[in-house]
Amino acid sequence: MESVKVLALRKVYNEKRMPVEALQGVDLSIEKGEFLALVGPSGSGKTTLLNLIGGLDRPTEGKIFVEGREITELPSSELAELRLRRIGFVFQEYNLIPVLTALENVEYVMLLQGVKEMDRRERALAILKEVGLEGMEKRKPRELSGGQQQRVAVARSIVSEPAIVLADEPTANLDSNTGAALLDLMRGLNEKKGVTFIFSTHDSMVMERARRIVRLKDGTIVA
Amino acid sequence: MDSALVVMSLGDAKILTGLGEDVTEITVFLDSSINTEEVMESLKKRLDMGKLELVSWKELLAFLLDLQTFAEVFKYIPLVILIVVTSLGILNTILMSVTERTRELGIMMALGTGPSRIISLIMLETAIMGLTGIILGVSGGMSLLSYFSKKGIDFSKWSEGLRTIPFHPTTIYPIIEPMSFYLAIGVVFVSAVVSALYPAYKAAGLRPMEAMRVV
Ligand SMILES: Nc1ncnc2c1ncn2[C@@H]1O[C@H](COP(=O)(O)OP(=O)(O)OP(=O)(O)O)[C@@H](O)[C@H]1O
Ligand SMILES: [Mg+2]
Repeated sequence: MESVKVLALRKVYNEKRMPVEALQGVDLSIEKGEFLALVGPSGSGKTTLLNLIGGLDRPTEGKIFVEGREITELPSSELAELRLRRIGFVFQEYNLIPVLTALENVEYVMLLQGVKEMDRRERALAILKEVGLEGMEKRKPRELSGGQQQRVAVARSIVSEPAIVLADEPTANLDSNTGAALLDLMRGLNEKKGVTFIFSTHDSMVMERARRIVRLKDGTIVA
Repeated sequence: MDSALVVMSLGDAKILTGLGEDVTEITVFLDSSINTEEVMESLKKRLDMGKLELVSWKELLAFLLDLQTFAEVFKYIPLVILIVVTSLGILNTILMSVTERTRELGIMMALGTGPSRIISLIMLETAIMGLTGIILGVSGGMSLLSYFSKKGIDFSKWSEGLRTIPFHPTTIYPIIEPMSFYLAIGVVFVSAVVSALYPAYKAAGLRPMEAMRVV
């Protein structure tokens, strides 16, 4: 079964005043365990597509299936539950919770999932170490550099080993070595646990490592 | 002795007024105002009503009675003010705190925090704030009150008015009625929780995408 499937997906922002067609009929099928990169110029609709797959926004037209379940009509409470249990997000602007420390940010999802405190703490510390942030666990997001915040965001998205990780430019602010290490980490999870990864990226290093590349241009898939 | 009241011996008073052994007025103090009617009845039976006039405090000091009904009604005015002020204050505070945290709430929702959890979060915050306020308010109010109930509040500066009521003290020692005390606490808590409902539902209805874009 597909991990994610979208059919004739359209998204128009600002329908009433200044309509922007961000996606104009996208069809895409992604199998479980894929390691896929969405590439395309700025404004081509990569973020829009990831947000729709994650149920953060509603499409104008079309259908989205996540693990076989059509999600466009789900109430917001069920979408939240789906994100909590099945999906990990890395946002383009990191979107860490500003009042929580790096460690607490990583723990937050596990807290919602009901993971026990000891277990939670242990896993969060381990993953922060893996992304190279040992010793920075107690810092608030504003006390971290952009790249460090990005690594916290990646740690947060994979720590609970979701079925699908949606990562919007996860290496945009990293030097090539740190970016490569992060990708190796995600690749390991993909191979060992069968987690589906969908990235958006401009980074040629990410494209090289992706096992499938989907190109977007002006809201449509070109290859 | 001052400008309103003269204290002298009975003998001197008799000479001064030229009343001899007669008496103009006997004032009867009762333990409780509830017994007034009863005592009046039994006095009426026992006394020769031809020569005497029996007047209760209610008739004699009718204005005091008016004042009392007045006070009964006015007791609820502070309560109404309390409800309005608490509700508006809480509504404003919680709305502000929700608006300020729009982005944060958006992130939490994007990560899978459900609407019902957002509602309970905001209600819980309000309850904690309300309780803290009540504890501070009660302890502050209690210490003020216990100070004044020992020391008394001196009204002698405004004593001219009070003098017209015979034997009214110019210093007042406040006491708490437990009922109005619990009522005030209950009212504050309930109006806090009720007025937090709107901001809580508003927050739960945020769309994560839009909320996260707010700076
Ligand atoms: N909230 C919004 N309101 C209106 N228009 C929007 C909104 N979000 C995106 N758009 C528009 O939709 C189109 C696609 O945007 P999107 O963010 O999906 O592009 P992207 O491929 O992620 O670009 P980038 O590589 O710069 O992140 C753009 O033209 C953009 O201006
Ligand atoms: Mg984008």
